[in-house]
Amino acid sequence: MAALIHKMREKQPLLPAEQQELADWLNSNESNTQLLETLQNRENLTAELEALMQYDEDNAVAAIFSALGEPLPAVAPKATIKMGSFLAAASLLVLIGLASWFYLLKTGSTKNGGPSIVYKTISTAPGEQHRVLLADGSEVWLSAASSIRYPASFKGDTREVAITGEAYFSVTKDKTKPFLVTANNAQVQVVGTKFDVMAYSDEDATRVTLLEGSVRVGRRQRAEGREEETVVLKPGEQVSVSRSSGLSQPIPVQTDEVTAWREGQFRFNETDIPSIMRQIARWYKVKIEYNGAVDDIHFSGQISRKEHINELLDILSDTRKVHFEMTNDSTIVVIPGHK
Amino acid sequence: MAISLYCGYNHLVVAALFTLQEEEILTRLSVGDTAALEILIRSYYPVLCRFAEKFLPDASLAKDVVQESFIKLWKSNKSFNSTQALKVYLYTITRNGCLDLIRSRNRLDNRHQQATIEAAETLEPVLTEIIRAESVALIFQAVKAMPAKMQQVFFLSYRDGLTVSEIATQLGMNLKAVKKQKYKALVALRGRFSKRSEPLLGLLTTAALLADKNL
Repeated sequence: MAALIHKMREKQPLLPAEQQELADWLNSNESNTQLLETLQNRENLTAELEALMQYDEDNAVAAIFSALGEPLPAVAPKATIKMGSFLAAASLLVLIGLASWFYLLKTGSTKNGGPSIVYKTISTAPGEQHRVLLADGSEVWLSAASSIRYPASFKGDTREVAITGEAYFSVTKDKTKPFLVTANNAQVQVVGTKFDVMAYSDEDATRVTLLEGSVRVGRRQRAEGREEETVVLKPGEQVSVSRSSGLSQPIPVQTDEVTAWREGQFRFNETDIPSIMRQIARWYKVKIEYNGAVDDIHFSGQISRKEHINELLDILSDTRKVHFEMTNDSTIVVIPGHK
Repeated sequence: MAISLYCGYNHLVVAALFTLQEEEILTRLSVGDTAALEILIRSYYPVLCRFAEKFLPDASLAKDVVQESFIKLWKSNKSFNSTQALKVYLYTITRNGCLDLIRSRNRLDNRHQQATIEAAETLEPVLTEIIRAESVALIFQAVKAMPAKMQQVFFLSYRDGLTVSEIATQLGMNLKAVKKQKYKALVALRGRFSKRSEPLLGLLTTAALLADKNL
């Protein structure tokens, strides 16, 4: 058996010229390298295959045929067509991607002595959101006035990114390579999960909210040798890391309020005025000033982020708990009580 | 935008390799044989759904977009001179379908989705997603065509990294049978990319095209 496999391997080794072609192709574009890495990652490729297996073709055939007004063929053909790869490069990538399995080599951690890591940074302006796809297939949604710094490809034993502002993560599972998010004074360690990190510098604390899976949140320690404090979150829980009091105990929260921004909404649930005004400042690019104490005023409700700022302020004013004055340099003055 | 992109993909069609089966599918599609349409849906529906998911804010919308793509294909009465051209068409209308969907939602929610559209309109990620989809499709179609036992052996070996004897214990098979299934799985996968010259030709063409920023 082993001899047979050995023969197969011997029959098709990459020639030096071919290796060069491959190297050139990989170097010609960063996304090529990323793609190769995705395919070489067993867990990733298995996840892709399993996702594809879950689609119900019978249903699709039925739905499409009924939309076309065509009767279903009497016998379901079992055969799938063997189509040549339209991007033939794909087949070589796959070959390389599966190589470790073909050759029955143990996939140890790849040695990291290569060229230095290339980092990318993507930022959003106030009123902007952006989706970023990382090399391992993980997805990140950046909220307004935020940024993410990430390596073009993940080398080494961990996947590390850093954010400012707020971001929602959907992380591809890879037990062998923990995913680390650094935000302000907090560090989040995950394997594969969905969560939101809010680390705007004008907030009193960095908040991590978990939607699915499990994450470990720690306070970033500057001094070496100190015992690292960490908290493990369950879905629906939030932990905050503040400069003054450090790591809080996890508390249950309304996750839909936390991730409302992804659906283009402001959602408030007994939220205090200063928190609301900070969100408004980030989205509409305005400055906020206060004339009087408003910390004890809370609001609940939901409004679309596409509404004009005046619409939102009018709704808040209608409660007669608070009103606003607009100065000409796009500063909003918040005053308690009604006019 | 949509039209220029379509041309762009067309240039990528390299080294068409015909098999009798492919030609047969095309011929039967062109004369309106619904059985050919069904085979096409069964082969490409999951792959296109995964592809569409990458461009949509909500993955559950992918199924509708892809179903619509097959409906458009059938109604267009187009004929294709290679399966590659057919796939180019399917990827293109699926991607355009995603963009249309985002746009129609945009009318309701203008500012918020702008970034999503811009991301989806950039050509480079689209090409990468197609290469990714095609790469995974090659394996997927090979794995799917495997008999159930062989599929189990493949997943236990590839995904879970189990040894032959571990698989034998888990599936209650004897060692020899597991080895045989594993070898067959290997051959089935190998068969998908046995021709050496085409991948390399494709590789070079793709490299040249991806390097061309004006595409």
